[in-house]
Amino acid sequence: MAGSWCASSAQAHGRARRGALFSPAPRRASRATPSRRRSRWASSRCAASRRALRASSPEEHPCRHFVIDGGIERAGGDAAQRPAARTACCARTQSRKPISGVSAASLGWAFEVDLRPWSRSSDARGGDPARDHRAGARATRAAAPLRRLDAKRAALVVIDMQNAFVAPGAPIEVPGARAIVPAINRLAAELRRRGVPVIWVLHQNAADGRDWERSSAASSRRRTAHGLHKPCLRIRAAAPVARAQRPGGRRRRDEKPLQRADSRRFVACRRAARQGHRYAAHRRHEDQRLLNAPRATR
Amino acid sequence: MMLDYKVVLLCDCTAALSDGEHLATLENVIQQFGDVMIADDALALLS
Repeated sequence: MAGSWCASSAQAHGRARRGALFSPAPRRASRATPSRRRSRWASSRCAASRRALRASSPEEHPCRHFVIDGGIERAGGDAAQRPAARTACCARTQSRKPISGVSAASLGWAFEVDLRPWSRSSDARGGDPARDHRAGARATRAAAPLRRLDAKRAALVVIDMQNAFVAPGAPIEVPGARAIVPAINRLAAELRRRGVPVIWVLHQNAADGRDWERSSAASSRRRTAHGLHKPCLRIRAAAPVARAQRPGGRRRRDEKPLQRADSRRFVACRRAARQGHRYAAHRRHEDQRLLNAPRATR
Repeated sequence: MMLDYKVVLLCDCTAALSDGEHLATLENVIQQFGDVMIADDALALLS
């Protein structure tokens, strides 16, 4: 779209001669061709996508909720100006619709269905969570390239689950975040039981919002397009703060720069992990060795 | 995946402003950064 607009405006102003800058050939068409798309997917390390490609048709959506027809059809009109359209079938409702564009994100809006059949929020929407879970588990197992996760080397990192995002009426509220709290708590409890460190990544800001600032106009427009009229905020005191699952540990030297940045709560992850759990001696040694090693060898 | 971490994003433990954004993120992660699965499956893989 941007390419064609530049080309036409350049001609309108008689600047077409300088035109190499403006690249009059629209690039969208080539991006939408099946071969280009195919090679991009094939080169990615996504096993699920590769498996879907090997099956060739129909192609499965990453969330296993939609089946996208392999066949590509033009949406009509000037083929060079329009992206290719495909059809998708919703696994849940069995309805079939043409899908324009190549982004899977458009599927949700097209079908107006619950895109997270395995999330806690589906319970509240009256779905059958047990059936959804079984279907999701089968699909995930089929797609997962990971055979196992080593509990001795694993960690759960929970990011941004804090009042600024989760509390009702918060400045950057994400309403859906409240629905996933029980799932996260259940997971964290189970992982703690197995001795896996649980790391909560928070950032800290003044309660009165004075260290928030308005984001760029573009970002605000994007939010407005989503129907969100709250001011778009950006974190200025940028240091992300990792806080232990068990706060109140001794403060560290690293904390001083963060205190200057008006952060009062800071516990380094490694210390937090050790305080929170009784680690086996070899585990502690391994941790220290990794943390002391130069970054390149980690 | 990056820095040789094995990254698993739990699709039932993450949220976004809209389902579309959530799905787009999942797809991004699947294609470039790691795996996406539900929490119960991740627990089953953990040994």
